[in-house]
Amino acid sequence: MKKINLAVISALIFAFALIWFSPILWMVSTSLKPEKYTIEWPIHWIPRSVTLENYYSVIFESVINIFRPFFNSIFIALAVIVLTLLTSSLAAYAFAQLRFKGQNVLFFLVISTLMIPEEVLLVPRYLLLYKFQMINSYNALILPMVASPFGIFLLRQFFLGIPRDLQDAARIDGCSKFRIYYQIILPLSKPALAALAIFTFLANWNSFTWPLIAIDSIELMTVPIFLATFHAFGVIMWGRLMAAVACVTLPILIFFCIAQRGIIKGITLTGLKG
Amino acid sequence: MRGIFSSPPPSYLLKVRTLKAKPKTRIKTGLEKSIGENSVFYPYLYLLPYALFFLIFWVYPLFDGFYVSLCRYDFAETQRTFIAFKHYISLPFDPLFRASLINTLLFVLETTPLIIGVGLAFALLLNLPFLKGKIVLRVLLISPFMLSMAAVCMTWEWILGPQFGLLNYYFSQLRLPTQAWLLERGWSLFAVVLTTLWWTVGFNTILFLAGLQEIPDVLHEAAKIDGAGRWSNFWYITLPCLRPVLLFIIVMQIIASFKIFGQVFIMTGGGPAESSRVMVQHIYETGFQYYRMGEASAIAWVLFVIIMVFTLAQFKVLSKQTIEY
Amino acid sequence: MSKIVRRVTVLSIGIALLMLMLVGASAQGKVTLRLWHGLGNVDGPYFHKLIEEFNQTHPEIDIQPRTWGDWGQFYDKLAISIKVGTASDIVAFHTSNIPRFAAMEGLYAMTQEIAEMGLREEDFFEATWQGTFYEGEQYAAPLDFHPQTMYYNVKHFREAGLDPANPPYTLEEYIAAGKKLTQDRDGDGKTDQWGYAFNMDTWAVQFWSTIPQYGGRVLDEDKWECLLDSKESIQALQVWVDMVEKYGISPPKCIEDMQLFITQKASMKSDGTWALLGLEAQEPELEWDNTVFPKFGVNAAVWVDSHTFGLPVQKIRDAEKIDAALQFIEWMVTHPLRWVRAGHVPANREAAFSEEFRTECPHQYNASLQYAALAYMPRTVHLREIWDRLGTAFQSATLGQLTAKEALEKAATEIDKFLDGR
Repeated sequence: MKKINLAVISALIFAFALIWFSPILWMVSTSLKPEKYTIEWPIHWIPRSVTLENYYSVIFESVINIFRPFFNSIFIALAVIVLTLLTSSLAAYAFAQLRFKGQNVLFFLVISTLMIPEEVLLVPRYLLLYKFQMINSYNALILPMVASPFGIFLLRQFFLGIPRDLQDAARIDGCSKFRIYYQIILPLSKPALAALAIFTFLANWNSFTWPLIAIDSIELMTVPIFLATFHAFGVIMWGRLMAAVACVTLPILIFFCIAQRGIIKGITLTGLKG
Repeated sequence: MRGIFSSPPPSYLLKVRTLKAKPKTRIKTGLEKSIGENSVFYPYLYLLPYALFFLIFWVYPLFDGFYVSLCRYDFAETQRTFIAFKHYISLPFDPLFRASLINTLLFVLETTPLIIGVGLAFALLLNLPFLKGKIVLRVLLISPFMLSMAAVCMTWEWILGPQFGLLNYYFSQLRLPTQAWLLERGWSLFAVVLTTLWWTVGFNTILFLAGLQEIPDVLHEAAKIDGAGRWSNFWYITLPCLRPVLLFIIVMQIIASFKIFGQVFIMTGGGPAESSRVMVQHIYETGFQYYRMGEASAIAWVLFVIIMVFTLAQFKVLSKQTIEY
Repeated sequence: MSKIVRRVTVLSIGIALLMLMLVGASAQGKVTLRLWHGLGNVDGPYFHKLIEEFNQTHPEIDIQPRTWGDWGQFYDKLAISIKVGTASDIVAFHTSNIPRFAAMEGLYAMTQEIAEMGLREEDFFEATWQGTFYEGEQYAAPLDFHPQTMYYNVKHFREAGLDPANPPYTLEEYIAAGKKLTQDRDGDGKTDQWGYAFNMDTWAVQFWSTIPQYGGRVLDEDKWECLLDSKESIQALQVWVDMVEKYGISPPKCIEDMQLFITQKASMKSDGTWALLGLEAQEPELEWDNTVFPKFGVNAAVWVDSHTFGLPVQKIRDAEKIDAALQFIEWMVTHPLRWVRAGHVPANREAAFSEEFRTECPHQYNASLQYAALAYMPRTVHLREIWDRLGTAFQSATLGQLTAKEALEKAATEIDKFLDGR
C-alpha cells in the first residue's frame, strides 16, 4: 500500500516540477513556430509546423549579430574571474595565515563593504571612468568588478580551515611563504576557488545595470543588453525574440545539466560559510 | 560544520614531502630586508592588488558619490555647484521618488517570504528519501537561476501577454478572470515578483538542501523515537538546525530585493502609472536619461542608508537566538 | 588554479585579443565613417542595403552602420557618447531631437553646406524644413516625414458592408464603422473582432495627434508652461478612453494591437508609416490598405516626425570625414525615393507629388495626403521628459486607472516642475 502512495506522490512531484519548468519549454516551442502562428488561440504546445527560420533570422539576419554580445559576456566574465581569484586569494591568504598590524580592523573594513549596494556607486564610478576616458571599453566592464569583498571572506574562511601542520611541515623544509600560498594553499582550495568562480560568473553574466550605463557602442554590448534591444516599441516578433532567448539560454542549460554536481557543491560552500 | 573541511587526502602530504629545500644561508639585500619575508611590510604586499581595485572602485566612488549628491550636477553642463542637502530635502516631495520608495518596499515584502518559503519547500522536496531521478528534478526546479535575466524576463513577458499569453489562456480555460498582468496597477509589481521568484529560487534551494543534509540523522531518529510526528520534527529539529543558513539567506535576499532593477526595466518600465517603479530605476532614469547626476546620487545614498538600517536590524533580531544542542 | 583552467583562460583571452584586432582593423585608403541609428529588424535591413549601395558606388568611402535596435536606448547613448567624444561620425535620427542635441552643442551646423547642395526652402514641405533648424542654424537636411496612418482590413470592411475605398474620417464615421466591425463571431459572448485597436503603452502618438485636433497644446513656449491640463487636452485624451468604455469599439488593456490586426482580430489600427513593411510581409492572407489618420476633433492634425542625418560633434573636427558624410547626406536627400520605400514619405515636394511615388509606394502616398496637417512635437530640449510624462498619462487613462483629468493634471504638474529647473 505504502509503495503505491509513494509512487503517486513521486509522480505528482514530477508533474509539478515539469509545470514549474514549462516556461522554458514554451519558449522553445514558440521559437520553432513561424511568426504568423506564434499568436494563436487556442494555443498549441507542439507547433503546427516546425520551422528554423527564426533561428536563422536571429543568427544570420539580425541587424545586430548575436555572437558579439555572447562573446563579450563570456570574455568579460572570464577576465573578471581570473582577476578576482588572484586578488582575493592573495589578500585572503594574508588575512588567514600571516600576522600583521591592523589585521582585524582591515578585515572588518573589507567585510563591512558587503553591505554597500553597488547602485550607490553607479554614478561616481561612471564619473570616474569618464574622467579617465575609459567609458565604453572592456576595462570599464571588467575593472570595477574585480574587488570582491565576498571573495576575501569566502577564501579566508576556507584557508583558516586548512590544517596548520601542512604549512608548518613546509616551513621546516624551507618553503617561502609565497610558495606555501602557491603550492599548498591554492591546490587545496580548489572547491572554494571553483565556488568563487561560479559566483563571479553568475554575477557578471547577469549584470545589467552597469553595462547598460557604461557601454556606448554596439561592439561592446553584453547579452542582457542585446536581448533588451529586441524590445522595440510596437511590433515585438515573439518567434524571433524567443529564438534569440533560446540561443542564449540553451548552452547554459546544457552546461548546468552536465556540471550540476560541481555547481551545487560550489554554491553549498558559499552558503554554509556565510 | 564538519564535512567540507575535513583533512585533505594523503596524496597532498606526499606532494609536500617532495618540495625542494631552499638554501638557508644567504646574505640578505637591503630590499629583502624591507620587503622580504620577515619584514613588517611583507603581508601588505599580498593586500596590495586587492587594495588597488578596492580603493579606486569602492572607496573613492563611495565618498565622491556622497559629495556629488550634495551638488547640482547636470552632466550636460559639466559644472558641479555645491548646494548642500537640497536634493535630500526635496526628495520626499517628489511623487516619483515616493512611488519608487513604496514600490521597492512592497517588492521586498512580497518577494522575501515567497522566495525563502518556496526555496525551503523545494529543498524539502528534493531531500525526500524515496524520490528517484533527482538529477532530472534538480534541473527542472533549480536551473532557471543560471539563465540570463533578460532571457527570463522576455520569456515571462511573453507568457504574461494580455491577449495571447500562455497564462491568460489557461486562466480563461479554467474560467478564472484573466488579468492584464503587466498592465494592471496592482498586478504589474506582483508579476515582477513572480518572475523573480521563478528565476532565483534555485539558488536558495541549493543552500537549503545543503543545510538539510548537514543535519545529523541522529537527531531525526531521536525525535522519532520520542514519538514526534512529521510536523514536530520539522518545527523543532529541522528549522532550528537551519537557522544559520536561514539567517544568511534572509539577509542576502532582502539586500538583493532592494536592488531590483533589470526585471522592472525590461518588463514594465515602471508602469503602469508608476505602480512598479523602483528606486534603482529612478536612479538610472534621473542620472542616465535626464542627466541629473547630483539628484541621482542622493537617491542612491538614501537607498544605501535604508539597506544598512534593514541589515543591521536583521542582525540584531535574528542572531539573538543561537542554537545549542 | 589548475593547469587546464589556466591554459583555457589564457587561450580565451588570446583569442579575444586577436578578434578585437581583426574587428577593429578598418580598410586602408578609405574614409571610414561610423553610422549609428536605432532602426530595428523591420526597416533596419533595408537601410543597411542602401548603405551597401552607397559604399559600392562611392568606393573611397566606407560607411559602417550600427544599430541600437531601439530608439530609446539610441538617444540615451548618443547624448553621453557625444560628451565623452566617442559618438559616431554620422547618426540617423529624428528632427524632433535636434533642439535637444543642438542645445548641448552636440551637432555640427550645416546651414551653408545644405545651401550648397542646392536645397531650398521652397522645395520642401514647410513643416519639415522648419524642423531642421534650431536658433537660426540648420543642423540637418530634410529627408522624409512619417506621419501616423490608419491601416484597415479590406476583407472585414467588405463583410461588414462598408466601402473599402471610402474609409471613415470623422469621429462619427469611426464610431459607426467601428460598431459595425466589432463583432462576436462565434456567439460565445466575447468579442472576437474589434473595430479599432490601439496601443495603450506609453508610446502615445495617437494622443499627440488628437491634442492639436481639439485645439490644445502641450507647451506654451513663451510662458514656459505646460498646457496638458487644459480643457482641450483633456478632451483629446477622453476620446481615446471613450473608444474603449463608451463606444466599445476598442479592446481594453491592449498592447498587442499589431498582433490583433495581423491575426485579423481587429479591423482597424493606426500606426506610423514605418509599420507597412511588416504588414506587406503578411500578404496575401491579410488584405489591407491604409488611409489618412482620423480627424476626431475640430482641426485636421496628425503626429509626425522626420528621419534625417546629423553630424555629432567629435573631439577633433575631421574635415575629411565631414566631407564624406555630407556626400552621403546629399546622395540620400537628393534621391529621396530610395529611402522612402522603407515606409516613409519624402519631404521633397516634387518627389512626394511625383507619378513614380504614387505608383510605386501607394501606401506611403495615401499617408502623404496629410502634408497640410503635420503636427510636430514641441521644439524643446526637454522633449524626452515630456514624452515620458505624456505617455504615462495616456497609459493611465486608457487603462482606466485614472480619469483623463487626473492623469493630465499629474503629468502637467510634473512637467512644470522640471521646466522650472527643479
